[in-house]
Amino acid sequence: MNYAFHLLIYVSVYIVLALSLDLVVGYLGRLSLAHAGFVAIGAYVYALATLTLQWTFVPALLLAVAVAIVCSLALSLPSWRFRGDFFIFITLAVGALIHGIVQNWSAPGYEVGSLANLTNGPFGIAGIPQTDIFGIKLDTIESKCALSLVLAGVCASIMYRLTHSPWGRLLKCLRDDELVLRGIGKNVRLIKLQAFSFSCGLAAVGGVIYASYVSYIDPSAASLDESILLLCMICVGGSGNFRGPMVGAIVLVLLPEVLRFTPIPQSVAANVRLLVYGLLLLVVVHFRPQGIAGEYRIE
Amino acid sequence: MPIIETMEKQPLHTDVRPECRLLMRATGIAKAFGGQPVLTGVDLELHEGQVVLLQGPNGSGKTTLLNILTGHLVPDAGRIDLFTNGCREVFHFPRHWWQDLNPLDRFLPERLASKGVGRSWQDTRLFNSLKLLDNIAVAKQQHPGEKPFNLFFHPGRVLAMERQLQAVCGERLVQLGLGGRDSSSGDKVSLGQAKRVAIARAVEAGARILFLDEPLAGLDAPGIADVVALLRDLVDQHRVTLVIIEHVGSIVHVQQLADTVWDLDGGKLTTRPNHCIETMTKHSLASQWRIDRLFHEFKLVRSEVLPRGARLDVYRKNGAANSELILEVENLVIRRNRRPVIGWGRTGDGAMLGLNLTLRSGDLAVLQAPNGWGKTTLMDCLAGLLPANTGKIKMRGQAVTSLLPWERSLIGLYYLRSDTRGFPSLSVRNARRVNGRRESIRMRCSEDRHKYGELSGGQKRSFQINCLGNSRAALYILDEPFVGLDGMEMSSALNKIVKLTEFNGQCLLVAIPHISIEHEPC
Repeated sequence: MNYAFHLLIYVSVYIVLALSLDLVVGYLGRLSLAHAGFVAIGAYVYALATLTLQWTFVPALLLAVAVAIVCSLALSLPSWRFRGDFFIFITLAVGALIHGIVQNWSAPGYEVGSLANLTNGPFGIAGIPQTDIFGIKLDTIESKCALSLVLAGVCASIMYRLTHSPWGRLLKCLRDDELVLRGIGKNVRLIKLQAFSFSCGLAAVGGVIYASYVSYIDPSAASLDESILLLCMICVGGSGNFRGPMVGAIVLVLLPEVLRFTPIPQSVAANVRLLVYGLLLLVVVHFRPQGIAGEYRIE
Repeated sequence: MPIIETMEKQPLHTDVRPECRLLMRATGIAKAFGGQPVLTGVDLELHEGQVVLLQGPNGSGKTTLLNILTGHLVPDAGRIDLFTNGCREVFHFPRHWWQDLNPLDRFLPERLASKGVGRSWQDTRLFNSLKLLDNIAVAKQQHPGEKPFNLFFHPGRVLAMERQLQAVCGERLVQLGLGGRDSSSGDKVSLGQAKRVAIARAVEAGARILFLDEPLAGLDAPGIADVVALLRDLVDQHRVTLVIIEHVGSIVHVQQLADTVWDLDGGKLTTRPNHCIETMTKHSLASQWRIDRLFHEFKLVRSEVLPRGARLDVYRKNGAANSELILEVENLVIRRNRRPVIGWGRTGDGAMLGLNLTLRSGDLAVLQAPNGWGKTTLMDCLAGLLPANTGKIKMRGQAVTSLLPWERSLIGLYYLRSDTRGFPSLSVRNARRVNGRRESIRMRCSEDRHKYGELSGGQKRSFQINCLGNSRAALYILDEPFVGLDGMEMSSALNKIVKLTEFNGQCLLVAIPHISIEHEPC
């Protein structure tokens, strides 16, 4: 039963991440390879705030979101000027930068969370305290699962409100034809700024749920592989609408778990998983370029 | 009938004659591309309610001027004064670098648009993933729902505004003759409808001056009538100032509206009032007459009426002998997303009736069809860019249905698409060599070393027409070859096409919108 709760938490985390990435990829039409970096920013800020500052869950969550929103300027400012392949390169650089920082901001002999050893380098931060919401300790997996479902629900409804609104309509227009949107007097720079803020802020929420559940975070959370996995979810599930990223997140989280029950030896299983990811992506992109449940075709 | 009714109350100028109100003044506008001057000191004034026809030969800088006046391009020198919202706003050029540091004082299209300077594009550029209704609604200025804060903390205000906007835009679509189509997306309506929606969008954005880049290009007769009616209504009811770029083909229709003509030539602009316009009409009628004369040199062999208002006229040069079959199309059905584009009705056994077409060498076939009929789809399919669902295509007796585009071109097909796409980074010299032409092409304001991508729309078109006939093709398919050509280029293009048919063993299929030129069969 615990296994089911565990999966449920993972699915809800990835639903938040895929939905938030879809705001940029599917609605704004800009491909980002730095999304895992913002997940890691959220997770690390949460970990440090609870560990070293002894903050409780809610203020730590808010701090994580705020830091991620400030860092999202690293993507939104270049997006004013760049699009297409160049923008992807920039997101790649930003992702590598974040990964490099969390991987290397360490010094042996210093306490974790001190200025010299902020992220503890490749060893990551372990022992993140139990989730504590206004004095209520969540120590069972059921309660943690409930928290992550509630948070995922809140994030999803924020996303729904944003995308099904005049503001979301502007995003789609920006994706279709930026010049025309400027020609009818819309401030596209502000729209991009807002879209990246929301996307990265929500990604940080996903990171916080993850860190508070696993109570351990290491630099691999910010790696390029993780970003590509998130992008895969959107490609497979579909982008530009609400259900596509959800489908993608569910499929890509549950598929490896299905493989677990097949009689494949553990040593091979990891490779088979990658093979299945690749195959799934190829099949979907070839036969349904807009994804299983998507509207917009990523170009 | 009020077609456009802006939601804000327009200020009334009861004491001042509206014609007198100056909206925009530009002085000494200059612009050069790569060292070659396009505009050298253009001065102009725009008053409220004025309708201006901007004309000039291909490559004279009409689109450049329009881009500058709407903020899409920064001029090298000059000054623009805007009076659209009551107070005066001045832009001096060249701008100093520190002026661009101030985010509130930049010369950008969104800034000019919010001051009431709107434009429409030559290709309509609707937002394709949006419904038609939303295409107009999105242009609403100061919508509270465009601020994420309001979405979460003032949902009532957003909802109220959105409801009101949907109602107004729905009504507007009905007035545009698009009632019931409000949930179609931008790419599912015909060109004429799309152009009307694009104009309505610019007006909804609060445009007091509207720059229209070839609003009638590529339209069929009903489409032209609809757009002209909309423009007339904008001028009469709402005193929107219009600046219209239009080419010879449709200038007659704009001439009924215009009260001023701007002639752009040699980088200078001369303004003259409406009554001088007759000479132009004559000119335009002359080119019309030339089309007819061209067709009178030929004999109308047969005229087929195709379903959904299209017709195919096949001409042959007088005295041409019986000749070999070049193109045979049998029962061709093309679908896009299950919707049949080419293919009509059903026979008894439920199969669709497709298109049948035969062309022999020496034939000049003119396909006239209304916008949205599927001309381009048909041409793309003949060229192999789109698959045919059922039916056979044969060229010179060889079945080509399963051949790729380049294989068809080896058999002898030459396809000129309606867009002016080419190889933008090639120089004109290399571009014409790619097209198999050795001698240089004489074009106004352009040399061999310029890049193809730097040519203006009309220059690209005339370049493409000039490159025809250098390859040994047997079948030329030309999709709307005359769009964007001025009078001189038009007649040389027609001569070119006449010459093409004179070669032995060649035939042409030309698609043009339904412009209801009645040819007497002779």
